[in-house]
Parts: sequence; structure tokens; C-alpha cells
Amino acid sequence: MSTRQLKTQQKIAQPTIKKGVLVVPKNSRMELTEGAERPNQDQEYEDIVIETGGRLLHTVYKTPYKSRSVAIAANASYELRCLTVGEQQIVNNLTVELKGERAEAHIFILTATSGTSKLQERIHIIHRAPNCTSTVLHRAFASHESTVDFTGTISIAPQAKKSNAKLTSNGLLLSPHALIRTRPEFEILTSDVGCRHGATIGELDEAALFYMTSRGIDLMQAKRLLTVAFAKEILTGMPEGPAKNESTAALDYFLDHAYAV
Amino acid sequence: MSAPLLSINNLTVVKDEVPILSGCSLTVPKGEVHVIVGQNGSGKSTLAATLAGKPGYQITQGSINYLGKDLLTMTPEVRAGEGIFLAFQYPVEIPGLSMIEFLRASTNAVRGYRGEASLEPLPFLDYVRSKLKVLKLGEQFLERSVNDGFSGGEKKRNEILQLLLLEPRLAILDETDSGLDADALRTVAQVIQELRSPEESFLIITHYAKLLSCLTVNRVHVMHQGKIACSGGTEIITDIERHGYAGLFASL
Amino acid sequence: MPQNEQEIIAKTTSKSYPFGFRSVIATEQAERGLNEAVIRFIAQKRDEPVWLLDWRLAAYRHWLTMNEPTWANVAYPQIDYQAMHYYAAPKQRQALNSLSEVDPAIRETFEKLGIPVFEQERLAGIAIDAVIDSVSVATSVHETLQNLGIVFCSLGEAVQKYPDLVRQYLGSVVPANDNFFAALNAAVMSDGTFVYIPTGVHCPIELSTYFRMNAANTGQFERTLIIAEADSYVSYLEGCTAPRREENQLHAAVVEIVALENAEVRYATVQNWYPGDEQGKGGVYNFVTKRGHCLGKRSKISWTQVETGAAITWKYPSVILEGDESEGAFYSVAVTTARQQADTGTKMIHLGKNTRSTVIAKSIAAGESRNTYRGLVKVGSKGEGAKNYSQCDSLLIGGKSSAHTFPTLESRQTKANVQHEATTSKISDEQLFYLNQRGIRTEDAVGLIVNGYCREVMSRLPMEFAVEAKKLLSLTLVGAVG
Repeated sequence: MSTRQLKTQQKIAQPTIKKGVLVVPKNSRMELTEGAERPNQDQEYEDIVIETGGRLLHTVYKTPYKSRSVAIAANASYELRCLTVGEQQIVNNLTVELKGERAEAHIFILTATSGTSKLQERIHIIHRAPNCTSTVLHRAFASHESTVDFTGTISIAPQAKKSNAKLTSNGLLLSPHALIRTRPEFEILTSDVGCRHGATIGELDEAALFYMTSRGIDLMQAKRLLTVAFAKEILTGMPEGPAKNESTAALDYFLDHAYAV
Repeated sequence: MSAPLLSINNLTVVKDEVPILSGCSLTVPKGEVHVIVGQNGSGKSTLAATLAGKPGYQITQGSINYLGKDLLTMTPEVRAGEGIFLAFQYPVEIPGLSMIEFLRASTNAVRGYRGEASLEPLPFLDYVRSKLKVLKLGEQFLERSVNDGFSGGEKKRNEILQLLLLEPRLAILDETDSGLDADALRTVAQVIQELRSPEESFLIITHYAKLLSCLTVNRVHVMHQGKIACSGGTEIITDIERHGYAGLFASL
Repeated sequence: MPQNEQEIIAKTTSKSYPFGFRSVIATEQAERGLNEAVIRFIAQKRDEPVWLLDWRLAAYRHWLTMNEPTWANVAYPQIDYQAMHYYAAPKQRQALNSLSEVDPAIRETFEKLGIPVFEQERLAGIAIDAVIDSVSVATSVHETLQNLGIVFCSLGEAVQKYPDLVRQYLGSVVPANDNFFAALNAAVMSDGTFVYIPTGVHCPIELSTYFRMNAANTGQFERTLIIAEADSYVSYLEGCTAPRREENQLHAAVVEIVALENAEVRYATVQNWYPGDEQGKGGVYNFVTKRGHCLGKRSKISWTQVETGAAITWKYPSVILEGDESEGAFYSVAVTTARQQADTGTKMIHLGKNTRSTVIAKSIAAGESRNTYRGLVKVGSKGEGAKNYSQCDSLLIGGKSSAHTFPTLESRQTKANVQHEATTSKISDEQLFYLNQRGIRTEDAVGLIVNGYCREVMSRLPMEFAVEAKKLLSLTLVGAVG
């Protein structure tokens, strides 16, 4: 995988990549943004290890992450925002393991497919230690003849007591020839947990659309506004910078061309 | 003088290897209202939990004598049958279990223990209705799931409702007054006053003087660092209000 | 959790099966094994017409080409299909004219089960058709049904008396080539139930069938076909028990429901098959294909099930919502204890316009059991206005059991709404202590909480059976049974 910028903040050591593994050292904080640049051989990695107390704020956009695993140690946290917009054939596979107590993972995924794209996204969150928290928020748009196939699995190992896991997937079909398939899955092997998942595939809220048009807003514009609101939750937490600007622009472009009707 | 209802002797209680009660002693005679005050962390809730038999606490020293029997050998449901009632500070929610079904199961369990006949659904409904009136709760209350979606005040009134239904001998109220408005407070105080009898005693754990101003209190105890630091009349409350706990302890 | 509480939970979730007695009834069996000769034997014994024998043989030949599915999240030792008897009928002494002539041993079995088949007085509200092993032993024919033109009889009888109807609809919802077990069932189907409700008729009584699997090493392959003509209504209950056996018994049944315009069919199952002993040995393998076809506009089919038995359960009652504005529903409580394994769920296929489906699935996993929910909600491209709501909750008791949920939501329709929610929870120590403090023993507390958890599903059962189901639920989880 390529790294566009290895932006580091104060109070952290430089990130190290050893044999394809990116390491976030103990008690350090890092921000990492990936775009679609050509990879630098010695900066490629497929696995991320976040050591005790480490924090990684990760943004991936315009590029598939293909197959990746993230291991989070005790008291460490991982926050990922992943945006896939446009026309691509992608299979993304992410495994996140919460290995130490009180580890946290928060994953936000926004996919907007168009044309004849087929996007397959698999996220597997594994709780292996007690008192860990994970949230997954997945929002998908599918327009034209594209397909979004999302599987989000939460596995809770027997020793992972007091785990807290939440997964939400919301899909919006923007054209009659698109397809969204979502599979929110649980594998729970201990009783002492609080887990929840919710998934919807639907359309824009009729009541909200009517409210806006009754206030003089043009229907297409209203749809647009609601659709942007749908995506907003994912974009909100993104750190300011070129990634956010580009993502917003890509989303705008997508929405301008999305409604086939 | 008849034997006390409750006699706690030199009790030490440990939770997660930390002693919370240390050599705590307390006597509650029959038919009296006793109040326990104390700062956060003084051990008030642990005392209540220990009396009710909550799991997770180790008794490493001392004894509790209740109606002449060893309380510590009794399971929580047996203690309930024997007439101990705890109004929880934070009542737990049990979604799916309807109030009416819960109340009937509980009332009949306690009646069964006492050798009284169970109440069939319709007679039980009448019985509950009369108590609902006292607490100014509507009948739709009974259709809801136990404590699920209840406001703080509703949860507290639910505890008192159960108190009315189970007719205990020793009612322990763990900060029942917090979260109640003035009206509800007055209702609760009325309930307690009306329930008073030579056979029934109350142990009220509270921070607030408000409830006590509507009640006749026999004795006030101050808990500090896991034991009863001092006991006396309601003048203790006035002292604390004026000089704070620090002031009180200084004068001891 | 303190040690004594763990013990109580362990004790309350171990199972003691009250129906594990064996009846000695003279039976006639086909030789072991499955081949064309056995199928011809079955067809001949049942005096079946040629078209039905041909249908069976076609299914058998297809079955030979199929592979047993392995994807279900259940593990079981290989089934030896050649080691079973595919036909077992209790020997009757002569043709029956009235119920009182039925083999006394059979009547005794039903009495032990508490099934009021042979007591006319108790039939006031329920018409019962009883099946022992492969043949419907007695069908209490109710005058009311006859007067309304309702047909409620064994499938064998229907083949003789109403061949056109059977031929039209048999296999129309679950064709023989649908899946491995459906093909097996079509080939060797034993008796089952046939229900036909004519146009505009509201069936005034609950129709019910009890099954028993009596002979050792017989699989049971009953087949049920329910046809509800336009504007009709019927509520049907299936209840099952099975005696203890050392070997496992196979149950591969098929249920087909067809609902025409504005018709409503409610199908409820309270199942208490023998679950195997503590080690999981000797229980029933329950592989069932159940499917409803909402063929007509505004038709409704609902599946309600309370499952507390079977060593291994694999069933996905489904509804195909073809008619516009049709409605499908699935309400389920699946309890597993000891070492049971359940892999169950539902499929709602939205094809027509403005269809609705509701799924409420509650799993309760205790002991070392494994409880899996697998669901599919699919909205086709023509399914404009489809609405689905699914709620799948798992309650784990004890700490060694596991719950798995694998729902799939798929939509090709912009104007459709599919919504799925799932939670997992446990009975917390706080909840148990709260109930203890109110005088309720832990075993009873577990029963109260579990029944509260399943309230939404229980309320869908016909009243008489809701009471039984609630008791069954409590008994399964609370203390030793019986």
C-alpha cells in the first residue's frame, strides 16, 4: 500500500515499517492518510500493529486497501475512515483484532459506487480481550448498475468479557439497476457482552423530502441535501486537509451524476 | 425491652479485596425509623447490599443477627421471605418482563414463604390497584417492562410500590429520596409514616434532610470509613448542615 | 458469578425429557436402505397412483445427483442413508370404522402424551390428526369442517380423494430439486397432512397434528400441503415429541403453503423433539424445508415457532411474497441447552409490489449449545414499496454457550425499506439479585426473564398453545423437568 503522507503530530516517534508491518509505537499518536499515489516499495505494508497506549487516526480514500489486518494492544485505539467513491472493481478485506484490554476500534466506511462497479467489502472485528469497544459505521450509496456487497462480522472470543460492540450499516439505492447486499454478522462466544448491530437498505425519507419541497426547495436539490446528510457522519470526523477536500469533491461529483432517474 | 429486630456486630466486609465496612456495629429495634447519613464512600450502600445479601461481598469478620437468626446464612430470597426489603438506589432494568407479572411473582413468592395463600391474577390486580392509588401511579404502569424506560422518579416510586406490596419487617431505603420532587417526597414520607408499626422498622440511607423533616425519626447514625462514627437524634443532621461532616468529626 | 449461582444456572439448564418413553406397537417396516425398490414398496403400500410414483422416482434420481449441504453452522456425524428404514407403519388389525377401533397400544401412546385425540368431548375446539411414524393413525373428522367444505385429512387420503388438487399444488412451492433434504422427502415422503380451505371460508377451529417418531431407525418424512383459496383463513399448529433413542433419528419434512388472494394462513410449531443426552447423543436431526407462497394479492402467511428440542435443527421457514401487498411474518423462539445446535432462520423474498415482512427471532443459548440465526431478506427489482423489519436478539445464559447471527439483506429496489436490528444480551447478575431480593428464587427468575424476553413471539401463538409453550420454555430452562 502506498502512503501519501505520513503526517506525524507532536509527541510521537516516527512510524516504523518492518517487513510490511506498520508499527505505531507505545503511547504515541499518529495520523496517517492514504490516497492513490504510486507505492514506494519500502513503504508498503499490509499489517498495522498499534502498541500499548498507541493511537492511530487513519484515513484511506480513493484507493482500495485490499487485504489488511490491524492488531490493537491494550489501551490503544484505532480510528479508520475509508472512502471509496466512483467506478471501481474492488474487494476490500479488513480484519481488526482487539488484543489487549480496553482497546478500541472505530471504523467509518463510506462507499459510493457508480457505473458498473462491484465493490465487495469485508470487515471482521475480533474481540480477544476484555473491556474492549468497537464501532463500525458503514454507509453505502449504489447508483447506475453498481453493486455493493458488505459483510461486517463481529466476533467475541470467550475471554473477551464486557465487550461492547456496535455495527451499523445503512444503504441507499439510487437507481433501479443497482444492488446493495449487506450482511451484519455476530459470532458471540461469551455471555458477558453488549453487542448490537443494525442494518438498513432503503430510500430517502419521504417525509423529509416533502418537508423540504414544501419549503420551496427543488426536489433534486432536496434529494441531494438528504444524501449529503447521509454521508456527513463519516466525513465529519475526518481531519482537515487535502484528503477531506478531495473526498468532498469526489462525493459532489458522484451525487451530480448519481441519480439516473 | 424486646429483642432488637436487627443487630449488626463488628462487621467487616470486603469487596474486590478492599475492605469497605470495618468493624461496623448497629442495632435497630422493632418499630423504629433509623437514618444513616455519611459521605460518599463511607460504606452506606455496602451496608445495604450486605443486609440484602448481594453477591460479590466477602464477610471476613462479625455477624448479623436478624429476628434472633443468623442472617448471613440466608440466601437473598430467603431474607426477602423473612421480611427484609431493599429499595435500590439504582434499580436495574429488566426489559420484556412486565411489571404485573413481576409483582405477582414476587408477592406470591414471599406469601408462599410465609405460608400464606397465593393470590390469583384478578384478586392480585385489585390488591395492586389499591397500592397504585397511594403512590398516584396509573394502571398503565403495570403493562410496562420492569424499570425499562422509567424516569428516575418512576423507578423510585416503583421501589416503594413493591415495599407496599411485600409488607416487610425491615425496609432499607438506599437514597430513595434522591431524584424525587417535593410532592413525591411527601407521598413517600406519608407511606413510611403509615406503615410504621411496632413490628416494622425502617433503615433510611439519605443525604437530604428534606425527607426527614416529614418523618418522625428515632435515631440518626453517621457512617464514616466503614463504621458508625456516631449516633444520636436529629440534631446530628442539623450539625452537619451547619458545620459539614468535617465539623462533626472534629467535635467527636 | 459466585460458585453457587453458577451451579444453579448449570442445573437449571440441564434437561430432563418427560416424553422419553417407548411404546411397543407392532410395526411393519420396509427393508433397510434406499433404492427404487423401497420407493415402489412405499407407493404400493399406500396405494398411490402412477403419477405420484413417477414424481417420487424423479425426485429420487435427482437426489442421487445432489450433495448433502455442509455450510450450516452445525456439526454432526455422517448420516448413513442406507442404514435406515424408510417406511414404518403400525400394524392395524382391520379397517377402522370408528376411533374406538384403533390399536389400544397406539391410543395409550397418545394418552401418555396427553393428546386428546380419542376423546370426542375435548375436540370441541380442536380437530386433531395424529401421525405415528409414517401413517396418520386416526383423523378425527369434525362435522363443522365437513359442513364448511374444509378438507383436513392425511395426505394419503387426499391423494385418493382429491388427486387433482394435490397434483396441482404438490411441489409447487418446494420442488423436488429444491435442496438435498427436499429431494429425499419427495422420494420417500411418508404421510402428512393436507388442508384445503375453500373460497371465502374462515376456519373456525385450530387445526392440529401431533407427530411421534416411534420405531427405531426410521427417519420421518412427512409432507404437509396447505391450500387457502381466496378470502379464506386457517390457523394450524404442529407439535412434536420423540422418545429417547441411542441412535439419532432423522426428520426431513417439507411443508408447503399456498395462499391465494386475500387469504391468511397462520402456521405455528411448538417443538420438543428429544435433544440428545448431556453428550448430545441420540437426539433428533431436524432438517426441514418450510415455505409459504403468497400467491394472491393481499395474502398473508405467518410462521410462529417455539423450538426447544432436536439435537440438530436446520430449518428456514420462508415466505415468497409474490402477490402485491402480501405479507409474510416469522416469529421464533429457539432455545438450545446442553450440547444442542440450532441453525435456523427465515427467508423473506419480496417479489411483488408493496409487500411487507416482519421477522422477530429470539434465540436463547444455555449450557454449551450453539445457536445460529441465518436470515435472508431479498427485495427483487420489481419489489417496489417493499417494507421489511427484522429484529434478532440473542440471550446467552451461563457463559459457555454461543450465539451467531448471519443475516443477509439484499435489495435491488430504490423504493424499498429493509431494516434489521440485532442485539445480544445476557441475564445479568443485577437482574437476578433484584428478583432474588423480591423473594423470587433464581430458577424462577430465569424463567420469568426468559418468558418476558420471548413475549412478542409467544403472543402470536393460539391461546391454548401459548400457555403450553410458556410452560415448555420455563421447564426447558428452569430446574429438572417433570
